[in-house]
Amino acid sequence: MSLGPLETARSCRHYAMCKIDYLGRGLCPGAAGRYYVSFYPQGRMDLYAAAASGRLPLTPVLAEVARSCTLCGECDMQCHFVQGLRPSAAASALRELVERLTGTREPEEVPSDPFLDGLREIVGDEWASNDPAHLEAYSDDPCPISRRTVPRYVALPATAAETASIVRHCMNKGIDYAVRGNGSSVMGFVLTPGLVIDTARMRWMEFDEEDWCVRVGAGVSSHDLQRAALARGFLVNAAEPAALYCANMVCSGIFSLFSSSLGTCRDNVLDAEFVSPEGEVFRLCAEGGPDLSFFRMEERGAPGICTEATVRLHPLSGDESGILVPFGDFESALEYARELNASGTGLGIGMLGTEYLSSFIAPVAAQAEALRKILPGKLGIEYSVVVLGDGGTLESASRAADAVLSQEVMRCLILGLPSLSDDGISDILAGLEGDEPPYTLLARPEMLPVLEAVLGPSPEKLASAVDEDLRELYREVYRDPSMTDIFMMNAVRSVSSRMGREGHVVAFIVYVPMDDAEAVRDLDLAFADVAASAGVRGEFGFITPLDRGRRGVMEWDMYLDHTDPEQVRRMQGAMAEAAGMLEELQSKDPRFLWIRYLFNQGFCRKETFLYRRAIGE
Amino acid sequence: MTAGPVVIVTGATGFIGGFLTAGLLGAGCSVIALARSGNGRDPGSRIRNLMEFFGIGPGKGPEVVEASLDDPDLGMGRSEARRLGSRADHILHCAADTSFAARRSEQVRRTNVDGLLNLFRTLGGDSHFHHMSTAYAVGSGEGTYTEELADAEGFHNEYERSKHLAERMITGLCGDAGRKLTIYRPSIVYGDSTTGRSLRFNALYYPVRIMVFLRDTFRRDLETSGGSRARRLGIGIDESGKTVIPLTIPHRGGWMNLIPVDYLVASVLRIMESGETGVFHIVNRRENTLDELVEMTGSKFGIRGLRTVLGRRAGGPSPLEVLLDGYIKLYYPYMTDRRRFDDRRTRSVLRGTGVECPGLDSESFGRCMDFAVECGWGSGLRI
Repeated sequence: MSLGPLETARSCRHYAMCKIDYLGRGLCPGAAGRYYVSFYPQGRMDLYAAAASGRLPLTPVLAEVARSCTLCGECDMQCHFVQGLRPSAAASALRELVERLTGTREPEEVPSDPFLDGLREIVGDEWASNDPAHLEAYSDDPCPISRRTVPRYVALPATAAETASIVRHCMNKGIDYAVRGNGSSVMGFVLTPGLVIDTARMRWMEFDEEDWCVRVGAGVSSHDLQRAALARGFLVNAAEPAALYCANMVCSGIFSLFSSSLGTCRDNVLDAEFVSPEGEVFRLCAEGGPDLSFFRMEERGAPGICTEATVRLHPLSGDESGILVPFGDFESALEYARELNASGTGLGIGMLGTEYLSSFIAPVAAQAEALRKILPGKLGIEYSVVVLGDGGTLESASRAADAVLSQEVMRCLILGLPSLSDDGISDILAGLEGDEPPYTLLARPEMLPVLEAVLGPSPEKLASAVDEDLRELYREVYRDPSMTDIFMMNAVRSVSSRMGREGHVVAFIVYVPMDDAEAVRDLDLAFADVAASAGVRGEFGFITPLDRGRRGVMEWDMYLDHTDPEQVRRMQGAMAEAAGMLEELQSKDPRFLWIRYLFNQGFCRKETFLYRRAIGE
Repeated sequence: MTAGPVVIVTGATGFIGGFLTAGLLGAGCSVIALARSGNGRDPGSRIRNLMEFFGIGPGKGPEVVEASLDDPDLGMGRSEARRLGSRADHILHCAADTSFAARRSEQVRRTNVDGLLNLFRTLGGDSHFHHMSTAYAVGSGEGTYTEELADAEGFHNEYERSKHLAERMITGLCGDAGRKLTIYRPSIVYGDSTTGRSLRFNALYYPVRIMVFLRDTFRRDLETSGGSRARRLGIGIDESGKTVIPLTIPHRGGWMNLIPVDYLVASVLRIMESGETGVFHIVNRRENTLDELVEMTGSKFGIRGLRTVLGRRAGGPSPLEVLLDGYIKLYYPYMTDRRRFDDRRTRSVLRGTGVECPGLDSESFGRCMDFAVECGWGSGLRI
């Protein structure tokens, strides 16, 4: 089912995937060199939604944004791949609307003011604006508890010095500011009635392969950093691909499946540069600077604007791959993941629920929905543990498992998914009422030729599931073996945003005692109760073990259509209830920590929040 | 409402319970079907669909009462259950979990033993209790078993064990309560021998389904995708157009005891009508061998290359054999059975009624498989 332009525009989740070239096909040509969110498909959709509602005046920027779209349709592939949306309909409608408006009147320039003049003196005329079209793209996000807030200005500094000058300018003029990464914050933290500082122009990296580190400017996305590191034979601990690395660090530290071996928060940062709230530049490791090492159980403001970070590079052996270990119950999967981590096995480990697995490997929502039923219902897979590592690591992990879906089997399943969704092999496997669950048969290496014959895996087969006009693009994308490579899929996280394809995600992230399966399971069930009583869809997301299996980081997700007021209302209730539940839990049991309290403390040492009791917090 | 006896049936949405419900209605009984939701449907719509399957029109089906044997009060409250129990002349307990998988042992025991206890205690009353058991409740030994409670020693799976325990338990309960009890022990039940119709497609059907699935899959590969995957597994098409699937099924001799559901229904109805109590074996004196079934499958579905071998395969299993073995493993005791069941009591009741158990031959096998394929091996049924 394809949405109309306005519905499409309103459905944008602001995950900013259109700002990174995760498919290797290039970015929106209209956005090249322009940096403002408004020039990306995400911004165009916001602008169309606002303009179509009569909320946006005809300004030079609106006209420029509309006309900069070449209607090449590349955004359709990019957005459809993860969100199932076709932004070109909105971009095209925006162009038509603007052409209609400009046929009757000239775009009206918004006058400058002294504050804006000051900003422009700092960053140059091009990189500070009060044009409503630019501001619109920085005014909202789909979080149910954030409130639309239109800023008065937006500025895009290129250096720490410019950033410091902007901060001092704001101090002098009494203007509030918020710092914006790639626009993927979905919790309302980057909204302000004052100035939005967009760090997108600080997009530079300096690799030091000899000392295994990289300096990263504040405008570099996790995706771009990881790609560049991988190209040099290294890995970084990066998370959400569209998030800017520095911003992500400030927010919460970075946790990913690789955190099981690479740690989180301060573990991967050698140094960082900040602009303090007073407008002074300081370094993390410089003498006399603020000590950000210790976690404090309180809501804290950001230590400053992180303008660069020096990040550890981890060398790869070159034969990294991945396996998926299926399980029929929560406790067994958790214990397997914990034991692997306790024994130091695995470069990356993550226990996933069926929601994630289904969403990640299915190219369209309908197949994800089908897979959500097939995995537990027919194959007996309730949970799975992804293990990433080199050949030796994966051999060890396989020996410790009853059944393993190898890279080859996973590639077969991904590329043959349309056939798996048919009544066929999954029904056959479901009917095999053996002593072992059906997935064990799927995991038998001898079964691969049968599976290949049954599923007929190929880029063509996978592409058959999508809209006809996108099939050739999907075929091209999936001809790249990295798109079905478990290690690469997790390293660059090309499909992780698919979890929000059927509705915006509200993620609850909690550090948990991984070595107490009962307590973790209780929390999982408590979340399920909250979701059920509030009438929202919610599912277990993932757990990654940390610190040799003593602790873990767990994500539990609730989903909503953020354009539906009733669903927003229910989600607000669920969030309030979950917040109360988490507050109570962590106050009683310091082994748990809701990530809310880690916010703005991402540069602390993980031990100081994983073991709060030990340090008297 | 008919004037016939009132029969409460459990498991009416299942295979045996469904056919018996239709049989009882056809015999003029007034049936109360205890059923629960399943497959996304409420009990009422499941029973409606079941009646439609049997061509029984609206208003002529059973009274439906939602009940769950997992609940001590059947999920309906004790007083309501008592009222219901007091209305019945007979209770025919067909609900069962028939899984052979060890990983489902707990559920099997809960349903087949605890569920029976819940039913008996909660419904109360003084009606004649009819318990649908299985011939294999006698245990995993060899030789001939008579129609009486057995002192079994070993079992092939929890299903057999639970049915054995259930027989002993219900015998004790009925004895203590002074109630009449009849235990039916059918062997492996397949579809209707005259129409081929069935509601369940495991046991006899599933290995055949796998073969048909493999045939269709690899023919598609051979005919439309170049056939490299098929050839890698030695699969091809011979000069007569048959699909060659090289697949060997090892066995240890023995036989399968198969009865069609129409024979089961006719037997149960006659035994109920007779008022007899005790154990009845409802089995086939003409067993089938694995060789016969393999032959019937090959010729019905145009497959060549299937063979059986006494003992072990030479070498390890091929990928196709891995798939088939995954299923056969659990059914192995029934495909190569060495148990025989004396059915003199059943035959005595059936004498003169014209009810005979037909053997499974290629014609009735063909009818049953045609129906199975037609209804997508059950996926087209909405019960």
